Amino acid sequence: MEKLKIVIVGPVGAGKTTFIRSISEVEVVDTDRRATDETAYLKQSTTVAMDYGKLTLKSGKVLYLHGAPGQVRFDFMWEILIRGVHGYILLVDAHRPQDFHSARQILNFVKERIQAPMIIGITHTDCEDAWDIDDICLALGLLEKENQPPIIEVNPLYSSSVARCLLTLLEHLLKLSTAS
Amino acid sequence: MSIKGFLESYSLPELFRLLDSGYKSGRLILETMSNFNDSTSNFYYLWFYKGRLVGVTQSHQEKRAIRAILKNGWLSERVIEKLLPLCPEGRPLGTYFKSIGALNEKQLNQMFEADLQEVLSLFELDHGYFEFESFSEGEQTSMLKLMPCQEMTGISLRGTEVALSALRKTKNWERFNHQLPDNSSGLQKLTPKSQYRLVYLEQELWKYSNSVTSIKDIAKTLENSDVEVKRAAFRLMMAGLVEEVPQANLRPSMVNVRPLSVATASVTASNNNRQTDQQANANPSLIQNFVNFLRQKL
Repeated sequence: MEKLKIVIVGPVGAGKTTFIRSISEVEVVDTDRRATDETAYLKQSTTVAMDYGKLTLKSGKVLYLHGAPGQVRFDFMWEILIRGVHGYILLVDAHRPQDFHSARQILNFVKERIQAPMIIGITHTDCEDAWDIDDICLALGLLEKENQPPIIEVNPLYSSSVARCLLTLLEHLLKLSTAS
Repeated sequence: MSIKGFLESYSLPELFRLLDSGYKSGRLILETMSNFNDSTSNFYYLWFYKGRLVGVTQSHQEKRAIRAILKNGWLSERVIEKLLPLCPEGRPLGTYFKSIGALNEKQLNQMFEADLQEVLSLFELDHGYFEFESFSEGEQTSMLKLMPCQEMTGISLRGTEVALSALRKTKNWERFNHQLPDNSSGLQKLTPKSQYRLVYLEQELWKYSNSVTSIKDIAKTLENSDVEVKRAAFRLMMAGLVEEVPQANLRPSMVNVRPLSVATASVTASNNNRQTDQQANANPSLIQNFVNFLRQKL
């Protein structure tokens, strides 16, 4: 059966689990555990394995969504996550500059290790102290506009916003596949 | 929406690197407090022109440049009073005074160095709030007119060079510990040649910045401690010379769908040599089916 595999990456609290929950047709496999380290200041629980959700067409074809653990520990989990991935979305919280460093690390990791198309979803852009998207790009080390991946504002709480974000990634994928 | 936050959340080296890489012009306001219980604040205004530090002013310290000239006895108050009105608008005081022979280059360097030392001391702060007021595109042409030209020497330094100097000087690394690269990370060059003069350990680290050799292995090869190598790596990162690549030892490029869509500023050709063990080519018609499906959900 043909399938698509999309991986959602990003720092702790960027909204990866919520993103998948908002659109998945199945109950998301919850791998969150009570946070016991510094993460506990941010959220009560955190993803320790990988979240998983899916969308199915009438034809039975499936799009799988996987959420990567947000903590900056790149272990065997990544080996599993990135195997067979068709594209990924990096979620970055616009009003948490303390996470930009972690987001940059993740971006560098996937850029260097996974040759799959990506887009960036910026969350919390409506917060008062949110940074401009252009400045977030600088903080992530994306300096040349012409080489930047598609960047889209997304609210993980709303399925329509999540759908738009996924759509942006798939259209990007489609564009690249037809261009080659 | 502007660049703002607490130094505890976004460090000054990161901020200087960002302003440099974005060729930002404007005023960085830094509100400092000696501690959280201290209600008195100091305001520093750090001025940037196209990513370069051009001057510093303080809320409680006006006419720093003029006071420095007077203090050093280079010019009298009477001469300064006569010369100041003649300084063209938008021209740094230092540049003008040098052009008419009132000050020489050595004196200007001395003044800028004093400003720089003041800025470097700010990198030692544990707490503080910052906000960058950017000059808009429309003001670009008359940007110098918005600068405190009477406080400026005309000398400038790139933001990343200031960050590099500050990190070489600092003894208080605790603030940056959570940002230091991991032992398992590698480093990737962002530029083929360093534009800065590097100290010995930085030079050695630069040689091993190939994105696949881990910091732990570099430290072992250089017979240096992991922590010293990590600090040197952090300096190079903040100088905009290298990027951290987590998990240098992880099997690379397991998937090769399409060429990378993101900026690959890397000058290393490491990716080209990598073998992919699994192709994950997506069928365009399958993607199109999901595109249609998602459009219905909007």
